Amino acid sequence: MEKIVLNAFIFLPLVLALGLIPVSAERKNVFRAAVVLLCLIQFFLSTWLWLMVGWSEVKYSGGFESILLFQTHLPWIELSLGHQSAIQINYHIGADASAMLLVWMSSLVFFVAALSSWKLNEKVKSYFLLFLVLNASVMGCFLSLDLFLFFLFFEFMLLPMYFLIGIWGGPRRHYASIKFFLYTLFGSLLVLGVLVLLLLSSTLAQPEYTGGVVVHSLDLRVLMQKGNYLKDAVVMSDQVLFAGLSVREVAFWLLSIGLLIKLPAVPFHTWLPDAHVEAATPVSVLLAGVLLKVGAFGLMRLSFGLFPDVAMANAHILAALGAVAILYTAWVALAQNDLKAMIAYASVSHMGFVLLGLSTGSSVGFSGAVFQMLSHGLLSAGLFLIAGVVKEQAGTREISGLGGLFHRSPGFTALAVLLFFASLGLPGFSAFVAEFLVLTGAFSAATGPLPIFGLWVPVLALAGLLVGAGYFIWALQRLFFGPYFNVVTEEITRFKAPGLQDKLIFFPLVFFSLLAGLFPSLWLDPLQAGSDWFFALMNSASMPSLTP
Amino acid sequence: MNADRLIQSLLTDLPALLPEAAIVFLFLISLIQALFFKSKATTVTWGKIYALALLFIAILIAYQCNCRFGSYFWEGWQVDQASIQFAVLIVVTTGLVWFFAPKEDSIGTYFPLILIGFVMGALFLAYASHLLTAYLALELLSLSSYLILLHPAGLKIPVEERSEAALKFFIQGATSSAMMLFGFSIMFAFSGSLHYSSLLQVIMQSSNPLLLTGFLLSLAGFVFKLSMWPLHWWAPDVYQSGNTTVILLFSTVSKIAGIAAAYRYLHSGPMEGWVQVWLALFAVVVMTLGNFGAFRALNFRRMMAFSSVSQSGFLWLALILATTGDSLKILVFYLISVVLGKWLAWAVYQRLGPALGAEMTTWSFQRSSGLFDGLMLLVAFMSLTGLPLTMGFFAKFFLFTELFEYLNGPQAGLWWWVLAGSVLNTLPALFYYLRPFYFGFIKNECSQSQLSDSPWTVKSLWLVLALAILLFFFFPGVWF
Repeated sequence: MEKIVLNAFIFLPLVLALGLIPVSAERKNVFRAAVVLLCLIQFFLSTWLWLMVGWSEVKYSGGFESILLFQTHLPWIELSLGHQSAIQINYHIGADASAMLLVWMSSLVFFVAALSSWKLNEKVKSYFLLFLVLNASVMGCFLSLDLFLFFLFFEFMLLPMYFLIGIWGGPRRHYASIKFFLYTLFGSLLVLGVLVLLLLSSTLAQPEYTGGVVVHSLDLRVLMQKGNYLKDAVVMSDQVLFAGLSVREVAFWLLSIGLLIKLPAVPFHTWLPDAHVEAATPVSVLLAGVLLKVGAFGLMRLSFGLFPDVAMANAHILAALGAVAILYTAWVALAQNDLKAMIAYASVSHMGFVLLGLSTGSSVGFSGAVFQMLSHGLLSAGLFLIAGVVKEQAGTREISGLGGLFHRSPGFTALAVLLFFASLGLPGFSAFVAEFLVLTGAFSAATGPLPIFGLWVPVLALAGLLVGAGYFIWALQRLFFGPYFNVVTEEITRFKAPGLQDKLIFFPLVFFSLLAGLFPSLWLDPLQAGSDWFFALMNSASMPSLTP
Repeated sequence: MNADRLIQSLLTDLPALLPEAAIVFLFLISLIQALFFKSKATTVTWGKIYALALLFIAILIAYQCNCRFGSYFWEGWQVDQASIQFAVLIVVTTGLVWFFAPKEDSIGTYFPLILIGFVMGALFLAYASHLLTAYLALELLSLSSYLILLHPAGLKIPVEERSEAALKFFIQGATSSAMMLFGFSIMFAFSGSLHYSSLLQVIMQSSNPLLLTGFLLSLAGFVFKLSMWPLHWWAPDVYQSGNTTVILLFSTVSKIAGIAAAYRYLHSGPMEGWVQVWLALFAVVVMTLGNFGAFRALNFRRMMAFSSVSQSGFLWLALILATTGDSLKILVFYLISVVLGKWLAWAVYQRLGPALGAEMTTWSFQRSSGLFDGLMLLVAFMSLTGLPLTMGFFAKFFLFTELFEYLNGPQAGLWWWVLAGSVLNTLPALFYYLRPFYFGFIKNECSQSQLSDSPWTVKSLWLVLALAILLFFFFPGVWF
C-alpha cells in the first residue's frame, strides 16, 4: 500500500495534467480546484507516510539499504554497450526518513502555493499544467533511488520553472528566467558528466565472477558499496588529472559545484535573487521552499553519500563556503531595499546552515541540516507570501517606501512578526532547533580531538545569525511600525487589510513551524536512522581512501 | 584487363545490386515523365508515387541484405551492415519527407527528377569505398543539390535570392571538391592506390607533413557536405532562401550521406591513436563555432543553419568514435534523432513561417491555436538539445558514455578535453533553441499574428513525429 502511494506522488500530478488538457481554458476554477485538491491529497498521503516512517522504527544496521523504506524496483532500460558490457537502468523509487520528510514538507508547500495561486488570473490553464509537471518532477527527485531517474527529474524541473518565472513574473522576468535556466542547466550538466563517469565505473558484480560480463548501474544501493566499482575504475583511482587533483576529487568537485549552484552557495548564488524577486509570489514560494532543497538533498545523497572520503577530506572548504554564505548574504540582505530581495538573500543565508551541518560529518550536524531544510521550507514560503501580500495591498515592496502598516492591519502585522521572528531563530520555532543543532555539530567538529575546521567557521555562522536578526528586525520596524505612509499613493486607505483567506494560508506554515520548534522529536526521532547512516559513512573507511 | 572480362565481372556483380539499380530505373522513369507528362497539376501526384516507390526500394535494400554483403566493382562498392543502415536511412527519410511535403514545396516539372538524382547521389555515397565512385557520387549529390535549390518549386522566394544562395553553394562545393581531389592526389602519390583502405593505412603509418596536408585536404568534401566549419558559410544563405522541404532534405539526407561517406573513408582501416583524438577535437571546435554563430542569429532559418553546424560537430564526434558495431549503432541512433528532431522543427516552421515570418523576435504563440504548434516545436528543440524525455537525450548520453571509455587509454589528456568540450557545448544550444519560446511565450504578450489553426492532417504528422521522439526515450532498447 505504502509503495503504491509513493508512486502516486509522481504519477498522480502527471495523470491529472493529462486529464486537464482537454478542459477548456475558460473554466479557470476547474484548474484551480483540481490542483488545490490534488495538493491537499498529496499532503494527507505524505503525512500518513511520515507517520508510517515514524512507526516503522527503522534502525541503521549497516548499509544504505537498511534505512530505505517503501521501495519499488522495476526494470526499465537494459542496453548492451558491446565489449561484454551493458547498462541497466531501473525504475527504482523509495525513501528514507530524510527523503520522506522533504516530500512531506514539499507537499505542504505545494498546497500553500496552489492556494495562493488561486488569485492568479492570466493563462490559468498553462500555469496549472506547468505547476503539476513541476510537482511531479520535484517528488520524483526526492524519491528516486536510481541516479539516472534522479537526473531526469532534476533536469526536467528546469523547463516548467523557466516558463513559470518567465511568463508570470515581474518586469525583469525575461532576464531572470534565462539566468536561472542557464545557471542551473550548467549545474546539471556537471552532474550529468559525473553520473556517466560513475555509471561506467560501477558493476553489479565483478567481471571475474561473471565471465567478464559487466553490467553498469546507477542504482544508489549499488554505488554506495565499494565492492561494486570496477577494479580499474578511473573514479576510484588516485591517478592525478591536473593541479594535483585526482579524478575522484575532480568528480567530487564537479558534482558538488553542480549541486551548490542549485543550493545555492555563495559564489554561485547570483541567479537566486533575480529569480526570486521577479517570479510571481507562488512561484517564489516554490523556488525557495522546495527547489533549493533539491540541491541540498542532492548534495547530501550524491556528494557526501558517494564520495564520503573526498567530502570529509575537503569538509573544511565546504564548511567555510557555508559559513561565508551565512555571513556574507546576511550582510547583503541588510542592504536590500526590496523586501523580496531581502528575503531571497536571507534564503541563501539560511541554506548555508545546511551546507555547514552536512560538512561537520556528524550525526547531529546531519539532523540539523535536514531539520533546517524542513524549517526553511516552511518559513521562507511564509516570508515570500508576506512579501506577496505587501506588494498586492500596498502596491510596492520597497522597504523605505512603506511604513506603519501596523495601523492598517494589526492582524497581518502579527503574522509578519511571527514569521520574521521565527526566521531569525526565536526559540520555540523550527529554525531555532535547526540552527542550534547545526551550530552544536559545528562547534564540536571545530573543538574535538581531531578538528575538521577552525573555530572561526562556527563563529562566522554565529555572527551571521546576529546580522540576520538585524535585517529582520530592522525591516520589521521600518515596514510595520511608526506612522503610516506609502510612497505609491498618499491615499490613506491604500493599504487594505488582507482578508481572512489571505491570513489562513499562513496557518499551516506557522502551525507546523511552531510544532516542530516545540516538539522537534516528532521529526528528529525518525531521522535518527538516517543520521546514524550518515555518521557511519563519514567516519569509516568503507569507501576507498585516496592514499593507498 | 580486356573488355570481355570487364563486362563479365560487371554482369556477375550487378544482380547483387538490384535494389540500388532500381533507383536508377526510377530516375529514368521520372525523366520520361518530366519530358512527356509535365502538366503542373500532376507533378505533386507523381511526387507522391515516387516517394512511395522510394520507400519500396528501401524495403528492397533492407530485405535479405546479409547475403549481399561484400565488395563489388573492383572494391569500389562496399555492401556491409553500415552501408545498408545508412542507405535505408537516406532513402526512407527522403521518401517520407517527400510524401508528407506540403504541396507548394513539391510543385515543379523537374522537381522529382532532380530529387531522385539527389537521393541517388546520397545513396551511392553510402556504398562508395573507392575514390572514384565516391567522387562521382559526391558530384551527383552536389549538382542535384545546386539544381534543386534553383528549381522554382513553391515560387515564393525571389529567383535572385535563390540563385545567390545556389551560386554560393555551387562555388564552395566546387572549391571543396577540388581541395578533396588535390588531397587525394597527394595521398595517391604516397600510397599508389585510390582505395580508401590503402589511403588510410598510409596516413596511419607515416607522419610526413605533406601527407598530413593531403589527408586534411581530402576531408574537405565531407566537411562541406556536413556544413562543418571551415566550409560552412554556404549554410546560412541556403537555409535562408531555400524552400523548406529542400532545406530539410539538406539538413538530414545530405548529412547522412556526408556521414556515410566519411564513415566509409575514415573507418576503412583501424581508426585510433592521435588521428582519432585530433579529429575528435576538431568536432569540438566545430560545435563551439556553430554555437557562437547561432547565438547571434535571430532569424529562425539562420539559427537552424548555425545550429546544424554545431549539430554536425556532434555527428562528426559520433562518427569518429564509431569503431565497433555497437558504436555504429550509437551513430545511427544519433542520426535518427537528428532526422526526427529536424523534421518536426521544419514541419512546424512550414506552418508558422508564412504567418509569423522568419524573424523570431516578433513571434507569438499566445493564441490558443499557437499553443499546440509551440509545444511541438518545443519537443523538437528539446530533442535537438538533448534534454530528457526526448530521444536526443539518449543520443547525447550514449555519445558521452562512449567517450568515457577513451579516458583510460592513450592520449587520455586530450580525450578529457574532448569530453569537457562536447558536454559544455550542449549548454549554449539550449540558449538559442529556447529563443522561439522566449519570444513566443514570454516576451511577446499580445499576438499580432494571423496564425490560423493547423489542419488535423498536419497536426497528426507532428504528433506522430513527437511521439516517436518521446517513445525512443522511454524505450531506447527498441533500437539497440
